[in-house]
Amino acid sequence: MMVLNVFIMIMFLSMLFLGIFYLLSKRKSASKKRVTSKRAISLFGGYTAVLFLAMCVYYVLPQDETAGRDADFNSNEEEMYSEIDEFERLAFEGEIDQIDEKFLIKAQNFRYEGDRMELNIPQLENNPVNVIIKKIEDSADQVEVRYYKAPLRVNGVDISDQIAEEVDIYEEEGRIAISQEMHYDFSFHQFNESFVLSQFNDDSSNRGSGYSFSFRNGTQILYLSIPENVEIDGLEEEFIYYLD
Amino acid sequence: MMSLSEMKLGEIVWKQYIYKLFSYSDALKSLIIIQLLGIGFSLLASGGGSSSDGYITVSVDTYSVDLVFIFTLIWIFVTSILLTTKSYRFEDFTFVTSRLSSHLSNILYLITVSAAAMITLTLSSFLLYLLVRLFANTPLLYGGGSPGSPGALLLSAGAFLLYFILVSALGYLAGGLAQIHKSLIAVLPVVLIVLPIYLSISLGVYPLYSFYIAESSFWILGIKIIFTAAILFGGIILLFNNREVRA
Repeated sequence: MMVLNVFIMIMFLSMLFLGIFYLLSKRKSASKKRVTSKRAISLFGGYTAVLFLAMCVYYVLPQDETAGRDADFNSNEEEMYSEIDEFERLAFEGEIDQIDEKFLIKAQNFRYEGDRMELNIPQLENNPVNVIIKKIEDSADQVEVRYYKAPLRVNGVDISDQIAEEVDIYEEEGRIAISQEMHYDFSFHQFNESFVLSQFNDDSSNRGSGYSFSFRNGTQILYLSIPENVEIDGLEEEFIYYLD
Repeated sequence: MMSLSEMKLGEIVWKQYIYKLFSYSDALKSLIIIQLLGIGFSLLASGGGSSSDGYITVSVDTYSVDLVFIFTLIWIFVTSILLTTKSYRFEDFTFVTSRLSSHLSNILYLITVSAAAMITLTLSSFLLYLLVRLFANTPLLYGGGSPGSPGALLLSAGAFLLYFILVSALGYLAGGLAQIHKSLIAVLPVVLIVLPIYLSISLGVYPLYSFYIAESSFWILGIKIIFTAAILFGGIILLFNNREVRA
């Protein structure tokens, strides 16, 4: 496939090369040249004027909603990421009560009298659900389940409002399941600076790649408050954190 | 005596240069066609990529003037080759001329059209941007919507000009060599353009070109390119000076 692409590219460039060669090698007589030279210069002047006008329009046009988000992104990027870091810190340190409610997607309480619970949680390779478990001595067989998720961010901008979190948490015979039927495709376009410019950037790792964006699907935390005698099964240990 | 002789050479070069600016203006027409073609292709064929975590997929199409830049590079390459052809060279004999003045005026002409191409290429990024915003059926990615800051545009304009001068010098040398050995007409574009593209894409090897494209300092790149162009232009002047008057 790659060889074919290279072949197509070479053929295309060769045709372009020959086309330009043909276009430029059509020489005219001296009298015709005088006429066409004026026309060519006028044409070039017109072309430059149109391009100049495009530049003016670009700078004069009001910024749209998306550009407004750009401004937010640029000014609040650090703040946004520190907010997520704070959310993660509070969750892993067990300071659940202090987590901002905007991260809470679903909460549920139920009574459970058994001594073994099984978790049925679909784990994504790139964004697994971290389960934080707190065992309570006098819980009166009460189980509390809270599902938190940091916002979905593209280039630092929160686009959670464009997705509907259809999360359901249910318990059935000692089995806690999370169903999350959520498949979204987001398409964007971006305008890049020329790759020529990338050679002068300090970070040359992205040189010539043609596109770069950050996509951070929020950290997922499932907080479980369970009776002390209950054991949890069904999930790899690396994703389970017990609070003291 | 020496200064008088230099003055005369300067006058001749200047007259030839002015003549060529107007006489070879067809090159400007083809520049417009090539750049518009590049803008058109840039609108159709953009780069891009996607990222997914299983639930959510984010796809981004990218647009830039890179294709217009490549088209313009080919244009300046062909233009500089053509300046060395008999048809163009014989026009110089309508003036009191020498090979040196002819070459110098050609070099000035190439630098001028390179500058013109640089200006239109830089400005074309705005036209392309507006067209993309007009026709793209997806929203603009946050933080990804600008042809560049004024500083970045100036820097890229400077780089465009440098690369145009380098390629015009290569083309001028290629054209000159092709006048000496006709077989080189077919070989040179392959060696100078097609082969490096093939090597860079298929093998990730950037022979010789990395000397320029890996340079991260604009000023050092400028020195490298001006020095290289001077050697290439100087080489062709020396090569032709040893030939008969009108071949």
